[in-house]
Amino acid sequence: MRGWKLLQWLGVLVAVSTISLWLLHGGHIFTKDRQMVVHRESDPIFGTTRERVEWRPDFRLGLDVAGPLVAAGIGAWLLGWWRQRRHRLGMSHKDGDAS
Amino acid sequence: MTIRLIGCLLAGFLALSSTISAATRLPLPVNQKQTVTLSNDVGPNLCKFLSSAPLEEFEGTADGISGSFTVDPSNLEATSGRIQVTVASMRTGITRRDEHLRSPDWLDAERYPTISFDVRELKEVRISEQSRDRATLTAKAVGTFTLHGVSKPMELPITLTYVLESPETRKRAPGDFVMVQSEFTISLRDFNIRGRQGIIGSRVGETIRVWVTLYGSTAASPTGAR
Repeated sequence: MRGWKLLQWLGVLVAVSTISLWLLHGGHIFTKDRQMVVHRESDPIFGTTRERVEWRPDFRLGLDVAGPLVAAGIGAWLLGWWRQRRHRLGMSHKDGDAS
Repeated sequence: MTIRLIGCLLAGFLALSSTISAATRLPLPVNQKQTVTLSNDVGPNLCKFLSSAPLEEFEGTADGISGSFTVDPSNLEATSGRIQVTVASMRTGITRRDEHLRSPDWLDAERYPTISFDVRELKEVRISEQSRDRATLTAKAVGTFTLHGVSKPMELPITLTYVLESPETRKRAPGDFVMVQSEFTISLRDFNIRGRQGIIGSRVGETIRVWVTLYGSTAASPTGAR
């Protein structure tokens, strides 16, 4: 029975930490692996500001990855809860039979 | 009386036609036709694009820009040339999406490795700023835009700045400098880009906003731009 309890806690941990990380990363829908960094500097020759763009590696968790992970976490919790419930019901039936 | 009327009409017609076909001069001491070749030594040639869709808004860039165009200082309307961007240089922040972008479902980089704009002429040329060594003009670049193997006539609004060679410019590159900026929208449907079913309109915008900044020099080698 301890195994199912552990699975439940593990599910909660995965779901909560994934949601936290997803929110911390900006709550994007799609996972990004690069971030656009724009360097702006004034250009005295043309009298404008010129832009240079650089793509830096930057992982941002999106809902496309976070969603299934959260679903798996909730699924694990539900499975654990259902197994425990079944076990409890089975025990009470046994108790009823015994009495 | 009739002769005077005909004379007036003729004079009016001539004045009107000369206004319509008047060639705009570059207000700088440049005498010959100049070929401007894009060069990153002059400035970072960059194309930025924005896709807005209900599920996602994303920005991307392309820096594989090359090309050249000729500027006739006595007739700016006669400016012509070709600018091209390599599809392989397009980035959107998601490596998998970049791969999809180049795939046959989207831009099909293998069959159509470049996006190009062939400038035929400029129209509605207006000198908006001028000084001793620099002139800026606004115009519409008339030409053919080719994307995904489909060519369409387009008129792109541009701002062109011409800078004469000086000790300051020579620190970057030789020759006179030219910067061209443009902002326009393209419709994916117009260029027969369908994508995977249901993605255009939900994850990718039906129209893409594009910003282009080009830098070139009259003495640059074609290999200057990436």
